[in-house]
Amino acid sequence: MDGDRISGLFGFLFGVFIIRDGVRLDIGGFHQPGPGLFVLLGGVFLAIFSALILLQSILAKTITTDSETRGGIENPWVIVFIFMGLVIYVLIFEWLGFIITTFLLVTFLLRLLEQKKWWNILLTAGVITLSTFIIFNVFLKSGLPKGILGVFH
Amino acid sequence: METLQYFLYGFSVALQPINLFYCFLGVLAGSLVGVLPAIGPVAAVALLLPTTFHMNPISAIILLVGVNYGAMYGGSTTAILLNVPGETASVITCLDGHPMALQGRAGPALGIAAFGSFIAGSLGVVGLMFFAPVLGRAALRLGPPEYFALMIMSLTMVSYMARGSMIKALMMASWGLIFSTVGMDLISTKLRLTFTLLYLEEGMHIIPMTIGLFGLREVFDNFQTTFKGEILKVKIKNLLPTLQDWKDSIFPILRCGAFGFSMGILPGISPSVPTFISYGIEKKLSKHPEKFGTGVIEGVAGPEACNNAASMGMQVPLFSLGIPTNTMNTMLLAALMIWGMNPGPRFIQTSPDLFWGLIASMYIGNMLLLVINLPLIPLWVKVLKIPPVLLNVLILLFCIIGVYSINRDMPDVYVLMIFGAVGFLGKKLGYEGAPLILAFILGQRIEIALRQSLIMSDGSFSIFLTRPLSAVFIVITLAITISAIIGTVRAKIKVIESDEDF
Repeated sequence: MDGDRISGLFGFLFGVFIIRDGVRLDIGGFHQPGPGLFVLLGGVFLAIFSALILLQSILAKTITTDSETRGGIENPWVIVFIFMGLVIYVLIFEWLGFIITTFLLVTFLLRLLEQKKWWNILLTAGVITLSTFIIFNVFLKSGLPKGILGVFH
Repeated sequence: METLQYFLYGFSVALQPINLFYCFLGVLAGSLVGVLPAIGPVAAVALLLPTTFHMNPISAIILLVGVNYGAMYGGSTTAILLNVPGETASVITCLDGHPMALQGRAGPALGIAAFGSFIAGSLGVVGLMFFAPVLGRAALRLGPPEYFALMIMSLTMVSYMARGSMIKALMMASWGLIFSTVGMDLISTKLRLTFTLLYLEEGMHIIPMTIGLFGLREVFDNFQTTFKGEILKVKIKNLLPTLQDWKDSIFPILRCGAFGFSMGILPGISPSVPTFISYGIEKKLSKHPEKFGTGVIEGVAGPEACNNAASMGMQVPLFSLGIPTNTMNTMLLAALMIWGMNPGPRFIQTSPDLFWGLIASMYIGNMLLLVINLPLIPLWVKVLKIPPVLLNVLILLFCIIGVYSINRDMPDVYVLMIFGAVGFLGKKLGYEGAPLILAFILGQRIEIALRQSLIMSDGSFSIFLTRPLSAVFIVITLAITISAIIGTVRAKIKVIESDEDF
């Protein structure tokens, strides 16, 4: 399976990279282990298990042992859009502030996931944003960023 | 006598108004979490962790543990009424609980689930009260080699019990070990794997990692699927089981409770495993095994008792050895460490107020659950009508706000996003998050134990085999690994044989 090959290859390369870093950090001797020894061991284990996964995915026609836990992504584009939305949200979170960014994010999510009328979506987004802001910022004093709305403070 | 004194002292701690309030809040939130299919108890505890930062540790642990066993209660409601288990330990309850509801016996099914959970949960607390201190005292004799071997055994067992392939679980554990080395080395004070990033100098932060791996992953998972359960439109009446119901259920409750508790002590066992086994045992012992699955009350009472007792049993190794045996306890250990505590053999002696306060709060919590859950069933049914999308959006916001509010630091939120994506994709590819988090939490202690052992033996690894207890743990670890390899090879041979048949 492609996913196993990619994750196995990535893990293997990262493991090798960690091994190199561990050696650079000074592994010391077994009688007096240095700070790099455990890093090196972690890298070795990661490289070995990743290589096994890679090998298994190349050799096996079908992998039956873990098929039960797998499920394909039902709506892959929905997840991609949500994730992209979240990345943008996180990037502008401190600049625009919690209220504006969260209102935009919730509007975007509701529009994407529920085909309801605009007024309904905007009203729901407004209620969710304000109620979470009041709970977390006013009552729990979470210190959520005000962003550009901070000028009115 | 000493235990009784401590126990009474525990009640004086648990009955303080603030602790009583958090106990109530915990079991209420746990029941809600158990009812809602959108969020599991692990994700809920991960989400609640940041809010406990400024709380007194005793109140905080009472709250978090309350969520855990409260969820075990709540999970049965959806299993019986909707045929949708609120959490995995309630899967088996669907088998007889839902048919009972369809036959118009939803009330007795819900009632016996609550009573069974209460009885077994209370017995589990008694077990915890006696076993944990005994094991803790025995663990005081363990040296670094034994501790190292024990932690490696726990890690291997948790990986073995992972739902997917063991190799993948071990790969995740390796990631966890590597992440645990990020930051300053405690012995040499050298910086490791920080890649010149200031954020990494104090090490990886556990909260964004756990909320990402368990909370955000669940949100992504829920966004791509739609909840399809249908609420049963029957009137729930006669919540109190009849005398015949009690006659049929009391022995399954006691048997499954004892079995669940003893299984819970073993590393790597999630409450769902003993629950499944206990159902099988009850079916074997029953005079009418053919009726199991058609709506018999013992098919509800036994497993519900079992999952609650198992969640109590799981606390034994956590508080006596400082070793979490499943994902939920890994969260609790993380919480204890965040509050500056170091669970281990001396924990019960050094923090009696926390341990005995928690034990007493569990008694109180079990009673509260019995009192609040039966009258609240109509409310839980209404809660299930909240649109799943709204619920998910709220959980998503809680994840982000929870992580941001810890340090008001955006890199924490970036880590949350990365681990959320990794958790979601990992689950799709059969990679479990639990071994990673467990290895991350134990990593530093494993490293110190390894280094101390090697210094003790002047660089010889044979120390792990020459000391009897350490050798036993290593042999168990090897036995688990070999049995996993044999299992994988057998599965492969079966596939090849079935291919040849075609």
